[in-house]
Amino acid sequence: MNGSTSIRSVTAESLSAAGAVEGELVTVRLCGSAELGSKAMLDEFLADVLVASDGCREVVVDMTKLEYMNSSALKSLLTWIVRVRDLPELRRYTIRILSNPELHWQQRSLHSLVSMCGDVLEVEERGEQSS
Amino acid sequence: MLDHESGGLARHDHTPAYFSTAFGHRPRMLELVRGFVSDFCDRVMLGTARARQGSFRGSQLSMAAHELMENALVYGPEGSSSFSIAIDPDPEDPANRYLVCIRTRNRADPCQQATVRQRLHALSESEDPTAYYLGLMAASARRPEGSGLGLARVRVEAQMDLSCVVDGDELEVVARARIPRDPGGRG
Repeated sequence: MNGSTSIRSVTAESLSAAGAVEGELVTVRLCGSAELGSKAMLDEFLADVLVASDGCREVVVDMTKLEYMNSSALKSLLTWIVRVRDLPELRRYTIRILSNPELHWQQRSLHSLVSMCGDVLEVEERGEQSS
Repeated sequence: MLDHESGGLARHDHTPAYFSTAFGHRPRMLELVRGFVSDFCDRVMLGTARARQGSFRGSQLSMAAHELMENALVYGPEGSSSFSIAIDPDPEDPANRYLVCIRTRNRADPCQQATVRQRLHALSESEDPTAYYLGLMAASARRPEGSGLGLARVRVEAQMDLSCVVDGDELEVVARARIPRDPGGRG
């Protein structure tokens, strides 16, 4: 595959989400705050990511500017991760989350996700990525 | 609108500190109170507000505040919910620990009251709350409606003990944590 294809960007309440496919790599960026009112949008966006990432090797999710995620949004993220884990082995890929160590909730919540889905999920601490 | 009363900010001393607010169906309030609680806790327990993101402990308490307020906002009729946070010297060890108590109160129908009681009972009965939380997450990932994770997240990620009181058609959820005075540590 040549070039880069965008995944439909979405914004709801305080959350914005965008993504792109470049060869076997999919990059996703979540910014703002995922809370009440953003779950439906996040569900739709992650469903699009699931489709767009078919055949890819890795999805990198940049959460370094995601200030907060409520439990409903955490469930949305988890549902997507579990769907990836449920894929047949040949189509399964790795999800690598870039986290911000200054956002303490990420340490706790992402640790919980890794405890559950460590076979497909990695978390890498980063500072805030430049936009 | 914020309708608050504060007992004042005790700067890292033994003076109790208290904040309360009533809130209607305004999701923006959650973000405001979450940020406020983090700052409030850091000022009271650490004597200062840390730069930008606050302390680890303040982050735990603000997460608990957010989750409990969101439950009250989603399930309580408009205009009937309240939130409070109290930071006192721990009566069992006032020189070395704080007792933090977060309360939300909202009108709740019998079904919601029963659901919250059942969830808190299951949490308190579990020998390993973390394993219980991970089990809930696994079940939640395959369930279309509702996360059902909020209370367990408060218990495990914010490390707070939870209880509830039913008073007629009102439900009060209480989260408590004993926090060491540790200005040089994680807060």
